[in-house]
Amino acid sequence: MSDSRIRNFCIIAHIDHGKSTLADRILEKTGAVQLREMEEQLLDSMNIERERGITIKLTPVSMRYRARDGQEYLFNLIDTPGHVDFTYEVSRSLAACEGALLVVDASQGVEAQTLANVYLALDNNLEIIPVINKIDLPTADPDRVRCEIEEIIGIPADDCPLISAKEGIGIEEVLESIVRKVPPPKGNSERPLKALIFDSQYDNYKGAICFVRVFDGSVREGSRIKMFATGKSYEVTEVGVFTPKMAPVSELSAGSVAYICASIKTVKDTKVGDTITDADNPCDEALPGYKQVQPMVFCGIYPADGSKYSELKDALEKLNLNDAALQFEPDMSAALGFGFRCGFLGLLHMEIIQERLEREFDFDIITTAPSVSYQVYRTDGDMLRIDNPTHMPPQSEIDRIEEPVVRAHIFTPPEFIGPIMELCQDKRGVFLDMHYLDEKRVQLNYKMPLSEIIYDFFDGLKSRTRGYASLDYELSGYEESDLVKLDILLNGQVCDALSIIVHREKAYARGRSIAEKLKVAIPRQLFEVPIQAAMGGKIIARETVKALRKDVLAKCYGGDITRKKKLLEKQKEGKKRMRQIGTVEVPSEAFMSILKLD
Amino acid sequence: MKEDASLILEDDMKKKLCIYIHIPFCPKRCHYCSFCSSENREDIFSAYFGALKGDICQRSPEFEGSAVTSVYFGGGTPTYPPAGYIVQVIKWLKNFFSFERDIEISIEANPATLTPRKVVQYLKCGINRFSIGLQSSNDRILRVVGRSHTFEDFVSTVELLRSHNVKNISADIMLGLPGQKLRDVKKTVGHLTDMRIPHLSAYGLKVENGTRLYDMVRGGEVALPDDDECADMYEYVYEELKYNGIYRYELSNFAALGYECRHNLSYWHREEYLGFGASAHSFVDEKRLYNYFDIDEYIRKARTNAVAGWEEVSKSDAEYEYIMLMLRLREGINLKKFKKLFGVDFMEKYKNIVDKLSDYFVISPEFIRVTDRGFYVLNSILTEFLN
Repeated sequence: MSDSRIRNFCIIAHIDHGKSTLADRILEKTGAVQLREMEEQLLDSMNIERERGITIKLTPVSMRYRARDGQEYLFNLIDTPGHVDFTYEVSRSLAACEGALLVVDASQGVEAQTLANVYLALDNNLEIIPVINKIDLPTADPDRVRCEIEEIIGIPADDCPLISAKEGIGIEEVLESIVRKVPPPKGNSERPLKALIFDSQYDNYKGAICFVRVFDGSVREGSRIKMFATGKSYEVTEVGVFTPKMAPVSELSAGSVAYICASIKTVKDTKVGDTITDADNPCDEALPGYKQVQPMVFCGIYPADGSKYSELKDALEKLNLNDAALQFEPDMSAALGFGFRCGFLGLLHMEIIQERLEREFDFDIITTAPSVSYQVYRTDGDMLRIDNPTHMPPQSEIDRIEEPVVRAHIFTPPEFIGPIMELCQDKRGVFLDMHYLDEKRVQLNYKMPLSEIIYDFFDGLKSRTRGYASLDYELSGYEESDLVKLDILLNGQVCDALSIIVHREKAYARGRSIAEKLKVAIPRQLFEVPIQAAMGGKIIARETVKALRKDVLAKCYGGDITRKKKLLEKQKEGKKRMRQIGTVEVPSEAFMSILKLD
Repeated sequence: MKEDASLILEDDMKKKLCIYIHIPFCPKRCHYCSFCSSENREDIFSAYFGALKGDICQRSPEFEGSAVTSVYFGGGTPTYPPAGYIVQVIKWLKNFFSFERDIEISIEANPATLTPRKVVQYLKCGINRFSIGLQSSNDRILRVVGRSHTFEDFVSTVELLRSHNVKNISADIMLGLPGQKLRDVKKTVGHLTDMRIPHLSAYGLKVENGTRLYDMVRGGEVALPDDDECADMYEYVYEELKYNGIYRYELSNFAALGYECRHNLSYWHREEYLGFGASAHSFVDEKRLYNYFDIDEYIRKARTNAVAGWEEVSKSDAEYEYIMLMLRLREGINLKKFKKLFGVDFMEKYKNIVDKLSDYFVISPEFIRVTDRGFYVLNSILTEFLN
């Protein structure tokens, strides 16, 4: 097919605006999948994605569409995540496209993430096609939303398709808009191969598979390719397109969105953002690629059963194969033994990894409280990056601590401005500005410590606004702050896995709340267990787990000593699963209980 | 302190044995009961006792001539079937074993199951100790847990026994019953001390899966006192009985001097015992054996072999058992005897545990035992000794 009839596009939207449903309809309409194969959210292949109604992975798919002009077009669609944590993934798919469908909910209107995604698309010079979805809802107000798109985003929306992906209304309009508005790829198949890796996936049989957008040249089975970043060469074993299942084809030419297999052992050799070229006839320079993603949120992950360290390592490595954004390194805690310090894109990313470890690998894990990365300046002038409270130097050696600060953009109906301001203030937010997008939507901008965003902010926002407010944020730098390390002592001994870094003003409340939760989670033992929260050397909260008073076996029935012994052995097994902090036995649940928000 | 019974026994040449006989019949099953018992099965009395005879005849010859120091009829309600059955069991036992002159023969009895005629028969065949299941003096609580008697029935039963000059009477009480308060326990104990009952067992209620009570608790029909309340009850029982000259000789057993239950002690002393009847356990030659639990199955199999399974106790298990059992006793572990039995010095081997739990041990050059506070949390102490 000639390049002029290829359309590479993605769908961008705020979470829940119906991105995956629209993708489903497009797939149906073009016949890429038969109705009988159709599952909801077809491109969200992980159970976790379907259950949570979110998209995490990028899923490309190729389709043929016969347009009203009588011509057949090749559509390459890349589905993208809608959550703020995965902005990075969105930017990856954008670089492989020429156009983007911007889906906006007809009753919700423009939301924080809508805007964030539009900016990304504009950065990538994409043609943006606004689509107003969910027009079947009684609360739909497409005219208002059209105005919002024009005024807030500043792109014409007068002829934008009004659709209901759920009901299948207006889908053809969308397809025709793609044909008309998305420019065809401009590559040249005669030039040396130049393909961008926008994602990769590990397959047990084929090795690491590169998801690519071919910009120039062509590639086929047997071609010798080279990675720009690693310089390594491979012989191509298979090329193909996504239908959405992987389907081999004989050759990929410029403009294709496709995959390449080349018996590559690990996904580490298929760096996302890298350029693939011809080993014998390389192109002059690599594509711009992406900047290395930096984790924003960190936590410790330990096996609940201390002996399962190496299994946990295997599991994390496997997850890492398809999730390059996950970072981890071995860590050692006095309380929890061997485990890993892990870095995530955000809180949702962290939750997803934890959930996948538990579900896909059937792993019982203990996680420590999430932390951000602090810049700690010592009195000797050195700067340390600390994302693990345990590694915090003593207070006397600290000159100052800087914490990451974000610019948070909150979109809300005006009636919630009061509660949101209260929440932001409580979270140490600094008000920047506020403007009315129209009479029903306000954008509030705050400067806020990232650590506050990852602790209970999103839930607080949702509950205070009945789910109407939306949030987006980007890192804006580091600022000095009055931060302290809060330690938890069990029977006088610091439990490293429970330490957190907090703002001095919040230390008392957090200390109290953690002590109270631990009091419930730690079972009574032979000794009274004092639980103390300490800041520096100062105790700021205390609770006590009273000493055990009853733990006996009843009647020795008819001389059944064996049963008594077995019961004790069972009890001992239970104890073995607990962590020993000094003389105190702490169950895994206790570590997890402090993570639960009030 | 009373002299260690097992030390005395060692000097004797003849093999000593205790015998347990299980009688799995009750007129009505209590709601908390998970033991081997049946309700209202008079139809199989003779089949069961026939099987019991078979069991005794089949397994006793191996131990023929052993001196029996105690026989214990447990249940169920051993006083529910006609007394003639019990009389016969003792006759069968005497065919194989010699009964020590000062033998203790106990029978568990529920109030309202004893009659003057029965008592005479029991006494005639040598039964000299009656253990009466009272559980509580609060009739409302008795009803809730499905006991088929009142406190008044208990009082008459004791009077009946005393009218036949029976002194060795024990009462079972339970702690932690549904709706039970400390004041209920105080009343119960008050009645028992007033009546000068010389032996008391105070067992904590354990709600077992599969019992009627389990469903009642889960369904929210009844509420149980919490651990602190139960511990308060236990401590009260201990203090109040002590004040009345009734000492705790074992975690759940209290007696005036000389009224300690020999049979009970034999379990804790790791002495050998043979158990006959459904679900009965035996301990001989460092083997722990158990009979078929199901009554009908027992009846079918007892004549050939009533033993459903057994386990050999390894040397290290034996050591652990010894610690587990002896720490239940006021006398605690005799350090010299421990070394003789297991070839290791207790205080050396378990130094770490003893140091860590020093608040819970009373230590002398001769013995180690748990403190008062240690008794009711003994499981937590014992699990430390398991590795």
